[in-house]
Amino acid sequence: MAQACSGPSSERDMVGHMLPNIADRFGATHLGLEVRSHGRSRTDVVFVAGDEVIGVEVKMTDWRRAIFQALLNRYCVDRSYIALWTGRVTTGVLTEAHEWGVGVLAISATSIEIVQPAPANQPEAVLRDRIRAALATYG
Amino acid sequence: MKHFLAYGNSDQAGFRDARVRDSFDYLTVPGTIAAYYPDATAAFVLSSRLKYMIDPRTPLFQGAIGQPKASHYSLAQALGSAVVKRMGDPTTARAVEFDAGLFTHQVIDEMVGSVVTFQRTYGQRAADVRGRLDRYRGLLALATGKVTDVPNDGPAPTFVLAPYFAARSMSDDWWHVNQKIWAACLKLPNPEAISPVIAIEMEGLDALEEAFKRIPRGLGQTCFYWIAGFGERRASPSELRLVWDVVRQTDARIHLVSLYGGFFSVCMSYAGLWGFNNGLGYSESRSWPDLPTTGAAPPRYYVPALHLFQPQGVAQLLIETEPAFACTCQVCAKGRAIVSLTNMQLKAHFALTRNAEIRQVESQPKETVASSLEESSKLLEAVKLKIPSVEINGSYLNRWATVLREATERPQLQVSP
Repeated sequence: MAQACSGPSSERDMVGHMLPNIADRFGATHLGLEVRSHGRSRTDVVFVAGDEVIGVEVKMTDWRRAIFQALLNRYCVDRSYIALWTGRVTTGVLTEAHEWGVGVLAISATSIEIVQPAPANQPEAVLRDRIRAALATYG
Repeated sequence: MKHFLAYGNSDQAGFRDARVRDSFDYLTVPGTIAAYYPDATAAFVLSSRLKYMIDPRTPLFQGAIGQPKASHYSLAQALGSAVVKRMGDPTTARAVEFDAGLFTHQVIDEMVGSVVTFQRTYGQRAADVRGRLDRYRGLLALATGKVTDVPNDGPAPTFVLAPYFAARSMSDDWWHVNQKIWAACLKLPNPEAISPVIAIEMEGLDALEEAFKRIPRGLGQTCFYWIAGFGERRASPSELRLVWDVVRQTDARIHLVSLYGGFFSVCMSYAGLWGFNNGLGYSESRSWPDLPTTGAAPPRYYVPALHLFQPQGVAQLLIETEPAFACTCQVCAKGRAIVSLTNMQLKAHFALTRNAEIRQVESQPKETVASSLEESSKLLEAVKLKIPSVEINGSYLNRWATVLREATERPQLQVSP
């Protein structure tokens, strides 16, 4: 069975599938992994798209945990997403993510789909600017 | 109730902040820091004009030290030649074991003399570190607007602590070492100015009452204690009640100070606890033999209504979800977002809040404090139903409330006319 047909083996694997497609899907420029966001917390994937800073929490299974972390990311990024493997995006996930102002991405071996766009947040300027400055060093 | 606040190496700026300085009674200087950064620490402490004490941290030399740190070797110098010899050559650091048998009468006499002298003469270090001290005086003047003078014979610590080791029971060899330490203290000049320290391991909690009874009368009447591994939030009601009752029943002329405590220790003032110590945002409990583990405290926000540290993002989410959890201290009242608070602001918030907790307990009956805890518990449970995956176990709130309602207060001392 080809790798493309099976699910990912880890969150790192999921991120690996995401990265080649982020630039196309979002027009992302600067991108960082495990970026310090607030306190000691780190956000799995953060990138700049246009004038906005976008944060993504990637999870294999625990989507509620992903929403919780994405919820906290709203304090420091302009739009906050969770990313799940494509078959795990259910109506329940979408409903709860919508309730908390979090967008949902579906990842597959070959693509990223914006299943539910993230609404714009009002992040703390000092945190957002720090992340943006950190991303500038990633290129 | 007296609040002792421990000094960490990254806390200098925090302790220059007037809001922090006005929020506690005594600065606690860990012996490791005093020994490892001798000049900088002495200059900082002596220029601070704060009342202070030095915790000799002797349990670091108890049992196995798998990977000795440089601070072990530095502190060993203050503990006498036998400890230095056992530590070995710092340039070829290797695992070392300290058994109770090492601490013979002769070794203990030397250690006690050395540890006590280190503390008693600490103020005299001002002359040796004058350059650094004046630099710190300048920084303090910048922060507070007040210029202070420090003579070459600087202030001595308010309390001089005897060396101590953690014991499991009265029959533990380490308990006998502690008794020999007290006997050695009694042979020194002014033993009444040396505070005994009782360290009991959690599994020996039942021995606490007997341990307090065995404090020699000839030593200082301010006695410090540490229940290793005792966490106020983890402890069962029976464990909390046991400590409460032991403190309440201890001779009221002895001032008991817990070396590690949080809000439940504040509440223990109803039982007669005279003081307690914690770090500026950390160290509300300490395990043993985990004592060698050190490091700067992570940036966390102290949620006053929950008496609990939380990551800043979680704290902000909690307060947005339940505004009754919001803090009104000088730092928070300015409307700053919790996630954007700097480390300094987090420390100042904690110091102000801890002080407010002490004032609350001093001004309210324990039943009112118990009601507040129960109300916070209800609010937290409601918040947890609203927020996905928030992982906060607030069961301690009701345990503390239960103990507060059921436990008996220590009667106030009657003052003769």
